[in-house]
Amino acid sequence: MSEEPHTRHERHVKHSRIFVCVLLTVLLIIAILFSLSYGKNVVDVMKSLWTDSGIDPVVRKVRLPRTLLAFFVGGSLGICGVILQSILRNPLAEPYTLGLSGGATFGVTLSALIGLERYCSFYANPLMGFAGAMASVMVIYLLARKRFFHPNSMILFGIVVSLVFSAVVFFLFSILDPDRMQITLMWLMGDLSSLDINLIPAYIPLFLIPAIIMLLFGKELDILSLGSEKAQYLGINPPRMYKTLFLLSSIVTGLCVSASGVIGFVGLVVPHILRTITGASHSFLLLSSYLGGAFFLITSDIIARYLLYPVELPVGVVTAMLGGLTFLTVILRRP
Amino acid sequence: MSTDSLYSLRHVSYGYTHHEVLKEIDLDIHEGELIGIIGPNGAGKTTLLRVLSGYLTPQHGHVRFMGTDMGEYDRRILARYIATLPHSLDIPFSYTVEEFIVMGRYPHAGRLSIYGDHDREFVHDIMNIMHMESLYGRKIDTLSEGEKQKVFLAQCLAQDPKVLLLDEPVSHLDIRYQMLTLEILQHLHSEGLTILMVLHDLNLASEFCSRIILLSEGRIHTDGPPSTTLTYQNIEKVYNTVVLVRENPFSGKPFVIPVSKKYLDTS
Repeated sequence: MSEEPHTRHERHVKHSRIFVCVLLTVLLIIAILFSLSYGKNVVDVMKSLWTDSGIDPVVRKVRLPRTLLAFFVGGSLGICGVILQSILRNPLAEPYTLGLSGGATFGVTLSALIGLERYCSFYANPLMGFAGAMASVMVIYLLARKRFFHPNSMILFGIVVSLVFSAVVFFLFSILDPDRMQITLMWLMGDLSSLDINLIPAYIPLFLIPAIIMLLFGKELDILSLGSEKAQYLGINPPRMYKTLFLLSSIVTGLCVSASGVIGFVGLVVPHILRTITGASHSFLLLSSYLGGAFFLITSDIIARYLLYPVELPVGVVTAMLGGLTFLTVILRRP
Repeated sequence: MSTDSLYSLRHVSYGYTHHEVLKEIDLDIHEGELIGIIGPNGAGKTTLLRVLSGYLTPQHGHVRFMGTDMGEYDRRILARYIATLPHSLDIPFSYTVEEFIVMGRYPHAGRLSIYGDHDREFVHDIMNIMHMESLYGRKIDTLSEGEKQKVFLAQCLAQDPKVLLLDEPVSHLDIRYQMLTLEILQHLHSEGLTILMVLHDLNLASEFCSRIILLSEGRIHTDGPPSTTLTYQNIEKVYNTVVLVRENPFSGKPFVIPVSKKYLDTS
């Protein structure tokens, strides 16, 4: 029986997608196991996880929360990167393109300056980071509304907001006590260890619910990437859709920043690489970028802990170096 | 006022306070017409098309589509009836041809689900009708301009529309693809699709359209079959260019020949 070309092609696409999903899941599981067991025998740790008699307290109290956090933050950054690249119609956009990191940094620096942790202990940084991120979201939102959420003006507003906030942050640094500055700087570079584990259960649904909602917007992201005029002809209300997706992705990015500081490159590199492997269609790209982002951040975190043992690197430094190199290879290999 | 017209525009004006692009347009469009919109640059051709597509809402007058005011339609519903191809479409990601065409099924698809087998079948049928078998699996950024235009058109057809609005669909194509594209459109028209297109080439408009709307400075200058719109008086007045109009020996339609200034001095 002869086969029509489209059937053959479609099966090929389907198979390569299933393959990528399985591969990413397997890699993710391996990374999680390594992250949990690090420095110990993997089998022992696995055993201790399944026998309820005694999970190693170090695993339970330190590594499990940290790995969970890396999973959710990595996945969320991956998916937010996909969304921003599509609505801004720019493959170089990333979750921080619209100036969220600037606001968050300002919030955390301010908290260090006034010594907020004296009053609300471990809540201080997450709270102020999130508040700062939301402040910049609000500014961008109000500005963008005047321009009907037009992509180019949104990028410009994002740049302006980032620059203004970073100027203020530099000023605050200059009057900050050096010890506090050191702590704030570490946070700024991305740090998965600073979040208090008591906060993690609260974070999980906050990360998970918007991510599930965002996974459902694949078709709309495809269409929005064609520009707002064509999107309208295909039956979308672009300003409303931009608003929804912008707010969803901003809130999730704000949560990521508040939990672990500014971790760069995940939201840029992961969607970019996966797009070259499994195609540009967003329904699948969203899912694979979640898995890919989670894998990338967990792996980076393992490297951050191992590389200069016993000194721990900020994970943001590792993602930037690893991501930058991978990115460069991918770009250079393209004809 | 006829009730069976697909579109009915009354006293439609669109523009900004200092500059009105469309002025007092009255227009009726019936099902099954193949209309060319011509006119000099800045005459308001694209704006008229955008008003017809529902993208722009005129400040004055009203636009009725299938008996209902344009503003009352949900965009999704409207996209099931009207497919519009803008003049330029720039695509930042390299979708495959099928991924791109299936986006046209969006107004018909369920809100939360991905595209189903029915949608994919629909896309295959369109690709077969348009002889695009060789484009299966190709990335859209590897296609030539002519192939791209075909793919864009196929996406519009995937919407299964009643009306097709096209803004200069052939202006950046070579003569082979111009004819190919317009012949596809003619075929679709013969199957009952209503088509309105902005054209720059007067002779292509003359050959393919049964009705031509000549716009000048935001107003309808002439509206009728090619033989009444494409007269040298109309063209010389609206375009401010000297032309000669002859009859195309094959089709009997008017054929417009521009006359260069250097030949005018001697005659």
